[in-house]
Amino acid sequence: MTTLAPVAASRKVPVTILTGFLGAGKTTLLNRILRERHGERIAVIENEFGEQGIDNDLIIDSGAEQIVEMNNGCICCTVRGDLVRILGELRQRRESKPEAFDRVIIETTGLADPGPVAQTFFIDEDISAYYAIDAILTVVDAKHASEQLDAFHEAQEQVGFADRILLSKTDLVSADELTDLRARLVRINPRAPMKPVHFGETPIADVIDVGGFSLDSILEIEPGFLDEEDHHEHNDDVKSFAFTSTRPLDAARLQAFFRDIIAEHARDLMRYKGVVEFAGFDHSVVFQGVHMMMASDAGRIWSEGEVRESRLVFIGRNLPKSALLARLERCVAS
Amino acid sequence: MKTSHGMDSNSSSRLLCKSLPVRDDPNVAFAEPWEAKAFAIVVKLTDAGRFTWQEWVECFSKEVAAATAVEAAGGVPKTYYEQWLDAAERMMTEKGLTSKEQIAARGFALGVTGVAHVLK
Repeated sequence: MTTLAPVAASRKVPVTILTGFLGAGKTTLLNRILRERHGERIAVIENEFGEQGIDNDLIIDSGAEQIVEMNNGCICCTVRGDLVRILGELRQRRESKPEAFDRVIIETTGLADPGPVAQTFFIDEDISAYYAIDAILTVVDAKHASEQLDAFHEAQEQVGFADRILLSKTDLVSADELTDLRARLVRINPRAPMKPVHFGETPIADVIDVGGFSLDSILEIEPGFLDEEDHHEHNDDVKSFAFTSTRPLDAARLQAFFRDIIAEHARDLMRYKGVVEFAGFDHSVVFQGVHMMMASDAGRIWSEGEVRESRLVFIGRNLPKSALLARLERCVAS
Repeated sequence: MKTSHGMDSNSSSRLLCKSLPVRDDPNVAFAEPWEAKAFAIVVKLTDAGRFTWQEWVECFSKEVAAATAVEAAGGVPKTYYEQWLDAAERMMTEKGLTSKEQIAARGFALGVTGVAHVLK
């Protein structure tokens, strides 16, 4: 077999990672997507076949989750061995038969940590050359989320990693309960838009081609998040904070800041994203990261008269918010 | 399974390599993986017609001359492939394949995490 050279990003096979707690409605949503997308062939990877069947020609059970630490001592370099194997086999299948499938959806088990799933696509070279994550979608059961977030850190992590949150069973809770839940989810993750799903019914555009890992995607922070004060009923381990500045940042200092935060908190730093203005650059610089994996690129050129606002969002477990904000403050160019 | 990403390119490229400045230690092909990558990128781009091998030889020779002058004047010496990389960046910038801004912006994450942890 000949291994092909890496394909261009735009031609990589898009992969959607579907997370959410047991009973949240992942399978219902998945069946809905599979029914609607008649034009596209979707390969589905599951860790275990649930009670509810999935209606698809290409569905693969990857067996038990297999967590593999890649580099000795590099805590954040854990990948999912089961996915490496399955995605490799799927690639071979598609190379001999290109019409086999157009995209992949991975449905994780309820308790799965999305970190190693995401890192599989960045650390394993054969996988990253062929596949690209479109987005991590997290289905949140409006009826049971509050208890689950209290009881399981995995539930908080799945929300923290999400590019988009899909709220199911909203008809089973009161408007007040829903408002409280939304506020809590925003504090965990202010950059993931929330969309209701009713028995899996949701516009397909909300779940496919989301571009959650694309550097070009706009960094939207839930309005109101920045002005919120820190007094809340729930004290979740997974929280987020944002830093904004209308004064340019110093590139070298921000780089040193990231080296420090990654050295000290990589394991707890789940997702981060930024659009920043550096002193002396006439275009923005965009970046994002998962644990200690990071990407950056030139963004668009600032337009004439535009308020050049740098915005950075960090989502993680027990991050020392005020200390980190103070350090970011010192990254403002003098 | 790793490919040799164009390393076994056509023999004309290999012949053309003879026109390049000579390496310090011809017994070691590449000291680090990035060197092989930098080499391959240049070969691939000439194969794709983005610039000619002759243009590359001129560009690289100029870079080597400049680096040699810096070193002679007591400046920091650069390895063969550091000079190769500098020349490749200049060539690609001149040909509009990338820009100084883009190189600087991409270098941001690289400077934070090192090459093993940069997302592609």
